[in-house]
Amino acid sequence: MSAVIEAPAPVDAPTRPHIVVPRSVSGARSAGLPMAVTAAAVLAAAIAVPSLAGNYWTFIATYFLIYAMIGLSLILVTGYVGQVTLMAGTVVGIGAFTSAAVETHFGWPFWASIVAAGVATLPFSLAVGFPALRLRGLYLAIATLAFGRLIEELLFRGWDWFSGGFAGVAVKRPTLGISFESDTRYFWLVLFFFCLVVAFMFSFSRSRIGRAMRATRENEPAAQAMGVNIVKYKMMAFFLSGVVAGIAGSLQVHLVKSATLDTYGFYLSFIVFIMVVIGGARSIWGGILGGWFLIIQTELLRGVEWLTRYTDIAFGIGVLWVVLSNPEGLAGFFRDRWLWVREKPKWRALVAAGFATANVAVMWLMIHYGTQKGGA
Amino acid sequence: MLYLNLILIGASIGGVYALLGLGLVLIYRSSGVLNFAQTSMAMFSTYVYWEVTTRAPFLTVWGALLIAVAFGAGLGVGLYKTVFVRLRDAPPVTRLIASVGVAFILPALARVIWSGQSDHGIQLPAPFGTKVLRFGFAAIQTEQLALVVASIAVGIGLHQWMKRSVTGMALRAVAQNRQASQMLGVPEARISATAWGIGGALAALAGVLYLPLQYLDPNQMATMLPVAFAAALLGGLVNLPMALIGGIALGAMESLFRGMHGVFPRLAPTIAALGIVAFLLARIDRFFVTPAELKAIEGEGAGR
Repeated sequence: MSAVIEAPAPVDAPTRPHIVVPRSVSGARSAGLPMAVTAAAVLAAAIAVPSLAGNYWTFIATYFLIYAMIGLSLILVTGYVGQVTLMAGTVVGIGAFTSAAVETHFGWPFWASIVAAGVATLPFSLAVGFPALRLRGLYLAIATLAFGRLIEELLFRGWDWFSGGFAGVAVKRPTLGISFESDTRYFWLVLFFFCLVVAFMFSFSRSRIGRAMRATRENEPAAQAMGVNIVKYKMMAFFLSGVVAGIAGSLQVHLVKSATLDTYGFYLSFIVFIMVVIGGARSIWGGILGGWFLIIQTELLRGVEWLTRYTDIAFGIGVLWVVLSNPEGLAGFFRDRWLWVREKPKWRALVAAGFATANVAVMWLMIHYGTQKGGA
Repeated sequence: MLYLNLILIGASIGGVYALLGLGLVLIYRSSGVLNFAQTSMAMFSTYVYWEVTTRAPFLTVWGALLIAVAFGAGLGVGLYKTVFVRLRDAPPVTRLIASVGVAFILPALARVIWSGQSDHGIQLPAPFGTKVLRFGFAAIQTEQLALVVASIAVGIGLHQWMKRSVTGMALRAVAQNRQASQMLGVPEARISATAWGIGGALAALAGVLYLPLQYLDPNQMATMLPVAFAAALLGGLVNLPMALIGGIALGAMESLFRGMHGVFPRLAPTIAALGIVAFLLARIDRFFVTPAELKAIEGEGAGR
């Protein structure tokens, strides 16, 4: 008689629906202290990455942060005002070449050159954003593709002073009082910028402007009727996105210490776009998860010889997976799993933990087995 | 005279743009997909052509050409039936993203299947040969001439087919008013699959005729995509004859610019991009699209 009987859940207990209407672009609520503690813990772990992971993985982690920043810049346009742009790679290139050019030709210091990289994107954002006010959807996608090609041909390939031509340009890592020459220190520098961008995005998404932008995305005429100045917010999204992409480009140049023609343009635009689609274009997490998928995951499995040939196929299938069954990408996928666990935490947490462990185990086995076989 | 020759040779590349653009138009009209995978489909089918010419030389290049074109058609139908039929009611941008995904898969798949061979590019036998023909003012390879003739013939044939055949009429009906045509019993999925099949076949034809002049590689033809878009956009993504004219004209202009002096060779690759921006901003499609079709496009929420 003393068996523990679980009290049935009250009938009117708020149950979470399986299909979740996106609350906000950020997906974050003001959870207060636990959130702050988590953030602090993540930051501490991130700062410790170089000492835990070694030089090579520090370099890869820096790459990941930069790509996540590019992803976030794309989300400002694609996620916030709902416009598809296919010239992200070109905008990153503008930032990269600008900062390399002002350093080599004018001898500007790093701080000035990174600001220049951000500012240099503004006229291009204006040039693209202006027609974007008239064009939407497919037509904007093609128009941005064309603009990207145009800038690539005229500015990158056509103007050697700016881009260094086929030889490329070499730059040095910055020295700001202390030297950021080492991979570790440079990682911290990039982490600093990354945190700035993420903090900006989170506060921005809950601000008045962020809400206005999302209203524009969901229903343009309705937003307009409510007095949202669509023109202003679309332009603002393009400007902000360009600045973030430009800064990311400048950081990338200083990471690899050179800028070459092949790095920026057509292909980068597509790969970054795909990265954001897979990660989830409507959420800040989408940019970060997409960057993880593109950089870290690919790098982890690089040792597995037979698998590397399938990475592009995996990206394509990832896109189809998102389009056909998971419109919010990895971010939405993980959020839905998280809500599923929260509904009945007791046993579902175990299931989820089991799955996560199995996934990690499979990956570890693949890496272990693959590298042994590949001999790398 | 040199310029006339440049235009003629450019028209052969223009034939490739036109064939790709015609396929884009057909696919867009029937299923509302702006197909970013058009050039990858061409590249992939050309690998099949190469495979047949090396494995089964007794079929001659003509047999290989036919098989590759049939494969392209099957690829188009297969892509529609597996992916795009599920996106019939999705927003246009979602369909575009799906086609970008396919455009990633096909080259990667080609790299997996034909790895080893594809490292430095493959030289292909040209179906029409590479003999140089001379007419008074101009010299042109037979293969290039075949491209011009084929694209014009295909363009005119498709236009007539759209105008006269029952399937063509059904296709136009679906493009103009989807709901009404559904109510009248037009089998939308079958019509769209047909259009995808033709689009795939045209892509294969473009690849097989053009790539012998270059070399075969998984990334080959990717940069032709914006130009094909420009050609298709000249007809507002619905008008077949304008896509044909646009493709050939763009090819001729590029070639002309490449052969001129000064800054012109550098500007050649930008013509298509400039064209796209100008066409879109000037809303050039309204000149070549019937009001009913324009309304249908706008109802789609494709843009504007």
